[in-house]
Amino acid sequence: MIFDEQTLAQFSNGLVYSAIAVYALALLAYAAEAAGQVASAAPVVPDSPAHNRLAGAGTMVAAPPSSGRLLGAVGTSLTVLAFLLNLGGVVTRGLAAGRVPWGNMYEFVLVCALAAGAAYLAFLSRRPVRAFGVWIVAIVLLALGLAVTVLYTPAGQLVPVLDSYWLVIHVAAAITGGGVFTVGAVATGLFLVRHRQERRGTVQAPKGRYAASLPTTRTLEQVAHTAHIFAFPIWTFAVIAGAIWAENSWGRYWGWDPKETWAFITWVFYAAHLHAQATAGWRGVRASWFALAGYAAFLFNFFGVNLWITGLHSYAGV
Amino acid sequence: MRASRSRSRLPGLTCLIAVAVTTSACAGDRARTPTASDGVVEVIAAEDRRQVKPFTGELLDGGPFDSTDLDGQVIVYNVWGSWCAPCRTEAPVLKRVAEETRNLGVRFVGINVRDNNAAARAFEDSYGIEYPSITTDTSSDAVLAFGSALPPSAVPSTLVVDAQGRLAARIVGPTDRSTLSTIVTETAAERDPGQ
Amino acid sequence: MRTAVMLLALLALAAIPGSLFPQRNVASDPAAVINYAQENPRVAPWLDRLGMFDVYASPWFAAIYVLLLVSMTGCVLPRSRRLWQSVRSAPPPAPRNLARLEGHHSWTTSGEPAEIIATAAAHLRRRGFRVLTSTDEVRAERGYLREVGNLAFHLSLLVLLVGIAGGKLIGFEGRVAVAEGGTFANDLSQYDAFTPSAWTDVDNLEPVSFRLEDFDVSYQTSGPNTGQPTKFAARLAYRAGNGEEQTITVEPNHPLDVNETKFFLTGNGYAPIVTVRDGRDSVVFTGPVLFLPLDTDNASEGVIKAPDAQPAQLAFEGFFFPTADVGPQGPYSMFPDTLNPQLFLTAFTGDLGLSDGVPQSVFTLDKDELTQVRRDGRPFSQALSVGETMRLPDGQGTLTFDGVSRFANFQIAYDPGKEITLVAAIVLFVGLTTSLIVRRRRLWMRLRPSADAGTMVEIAGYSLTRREPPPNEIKNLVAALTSPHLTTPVNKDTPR
Repeated sequence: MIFDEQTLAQFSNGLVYSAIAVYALALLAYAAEAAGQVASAAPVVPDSPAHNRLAGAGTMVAAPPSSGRLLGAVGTSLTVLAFLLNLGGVVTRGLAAGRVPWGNMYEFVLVCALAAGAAYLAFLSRRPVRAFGVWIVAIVLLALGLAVTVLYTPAGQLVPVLDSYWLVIHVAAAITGGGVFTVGAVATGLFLVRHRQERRGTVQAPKGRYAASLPTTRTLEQVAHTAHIFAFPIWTFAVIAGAIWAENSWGRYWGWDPKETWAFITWVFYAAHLHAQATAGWRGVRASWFALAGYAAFLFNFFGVNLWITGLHSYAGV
Repeated sequence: MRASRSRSRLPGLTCLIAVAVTTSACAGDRARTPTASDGVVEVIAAEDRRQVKPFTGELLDGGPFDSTDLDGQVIVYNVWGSWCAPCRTEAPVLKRVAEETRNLGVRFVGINVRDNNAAARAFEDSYGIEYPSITTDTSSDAVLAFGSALPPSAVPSTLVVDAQGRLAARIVGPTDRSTLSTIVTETAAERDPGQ
Repeated sequence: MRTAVMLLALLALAAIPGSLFPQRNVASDPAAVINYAQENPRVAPWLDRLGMFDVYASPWFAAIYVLLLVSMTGCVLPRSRRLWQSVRSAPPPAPRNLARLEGHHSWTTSGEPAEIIATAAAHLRRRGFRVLTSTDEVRAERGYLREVGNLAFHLSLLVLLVGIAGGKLIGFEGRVAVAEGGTFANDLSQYDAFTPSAWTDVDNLEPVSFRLEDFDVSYQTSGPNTGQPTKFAARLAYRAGNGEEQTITVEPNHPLDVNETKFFLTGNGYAPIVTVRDGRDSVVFTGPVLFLPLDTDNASEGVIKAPDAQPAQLAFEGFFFPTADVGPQGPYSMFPDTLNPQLFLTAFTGDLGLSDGVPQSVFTLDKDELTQVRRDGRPFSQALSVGETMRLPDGQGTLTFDGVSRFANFQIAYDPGKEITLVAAIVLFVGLTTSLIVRRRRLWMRLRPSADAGTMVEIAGYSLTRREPPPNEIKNLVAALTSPHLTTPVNKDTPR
């Protein structure tokens, strides 16, 4: 064998660090693009819902100056590159450990960052959501930074209790769901920003310039909705798979362990969000807050529960 | 993987058992006689009794035990351990009743559980227990044998088997002298067809 | 719906305290509530009164989910009636003004109206639409499955609750720790802890017994994760009912299952084997003693009680280190496996407090009536390697460290509602996914005689969900109707 496990593990670390560096550059490019839009009082072109619906693909609302558009394109290219580096880091990590690369907290974060990046790029290929880039990249960068500094664990074998094919299924589902929820949360947050400016009528005022550079509330809402209805069943599946694994491993499928509790809270908030979206008077802004609460619960489950609360999932390795 | 922090060897177990028994004893075929002691007493009418499975084991003094060797006799089985505090309060009671009913043909057999032989022998030595006990290592068959009628359910518990090999009474928790004496004497008296 | 949203939000919020405060019967650490109460004596009773240590069994938590289920049932049942009606009824007629709907297309053609209608109907039927035609109109609807999925999802929640209730009413959970060579018989008397449900039949537990033949553990001895366990395996010789003795290896994720009563390996630790002789030099204790692990290197603590020692009762308290070393802060364990096992013990004599009949934990000493054994005025303590003996001063007794065995912790569970819950969960997932993915929508085509001879064709759609219909659906229909071999479009007009 040319690459032994040690070399592969080091290679993986190298790729992850490179991904961080490239994401940082992508963040700069995206941020510069956003700043440029805010600085130049761009004319607002109302976008047509019907057109959006039929064409399905992107027109930016505000026509950014060409330098801004270039910066945005650079940001996206860098994001794709960083995503590929992240992917390489995850794959080599899996090869080094000889198992699926999600066996401890460090690896969860790597894969979740990957899932968020993938979800963003997938949406970008169909929707005018480049304005999300700066936020998604910032979140991913934060997560990866936390992974390499606080959570780093050397590649190695699984502890026996994790050695189950349910690890592959349950954790993969949870991570995929988390990645897509991230895009949903960014869309929801930006929807609230844009909505507030539109309601105050300040979209064209200097204060509202950032909001003006965003896609319309309609597009933002649709992207958020698509992300949520895609991620919610995946999250449901992750919870069910987790329950089956818990039954297999601990003899009870539900025990209100902190991790289980927060997965439940996340699920219930998103369920409330979907119901609110179908309720007159709650649709839009109010419903959005439930989605954000769900994402906050997801984040707390992912980081808070592992770091601060002891429970049966605490061996997940910090 | 971490062992549970507190293995309270059943503080308040008797209480828990009492609750459990209260809920499970609504079958109607067993008479429950609350007593002054902590134990929960169930005396079973002759026609409702069920057979206790035969079982074997080894005794603390080294010999073998086979429950079928005692066929035709009333036997009092006591489930105990040297670590068990209530077992200590009832040990003198058991010793006394065993001596008093020996002439009636009643035999006492201990079933030592979750213990080690040295500690168990030291316990018997302290309390002057004369009757034999099955060792912890070979106690599983004995413990499960009563499941076909009523299982012991707690440490201590006392099970009275009639001359036909059927469970006549169960005392979950420590017993007092008058209760045990009454039950054992009455069960022994059943053997006499004249009564 | 508004009620549902509020109740859902309330349910989520109500679940939070249960993850922040220790819980009875649900936590991995059974002593957590007791410890919390000791550390917070002023707040704890109040929290207890509010049900904060029993959140998921508290009346207020139950009230929320019961209300939620009631409101859901009240919402779902009328809906299923409506769904049944709509499935049996035809798609509704087209609205007067199709141009206001989504994806509106219109053009004029010289084609035969009947042919256009037939082509459109066939096209839509092939794509799974329910289609109703008249001489000048095609009505089509698709995605009823969404409503079916939605109902299946909501009804499965009720079934899920039945399954959960089954386990909560009949099942039980228990725990037992067994040292190597030790036995367990499935009777209430043998459990370390037993949590019955309201209707658990504790007198009819599954007749099964086992002996722990050996417990195999390995740890990584090199590399970055040194000391991390790689294997836990408990070899059991078990007997179920009247059957023969069989052997099985129980590992994490691989329980022993006897007629739905399952034995899970959930923990382990060390049980040093000791022999205690009393003041008369009689053996009063010999065997393994369970020591509870304190850290990942398996530093463990425990007590040894010899209540029948004479002339005075004896007790020992201390630590076991599988790979002992002494650092500046005292002895500790360097590695979880037994590379250099040592016992560090202190001794007590007096009254262990067992004779008054009050049950006590085998892991703690009641020191009220005990005196620590001293030598030269200082507490007497000793570090023992295997084979060594600790001799108490003045011939009060001895303790010999004979060897080390391990113990395994088993979680024992019986949950008869499990299969119902699993089926409900599967239906829940499938129903939910269906209801979110399937897009229910309607599509209409209308023909009108055009002013300049020929026929004016109008097509438009309408989504009954928040999601847009598939973007190409109308385009494809238009393409099918305007393909050259069928008709010759006179004038095609796509608005906007």
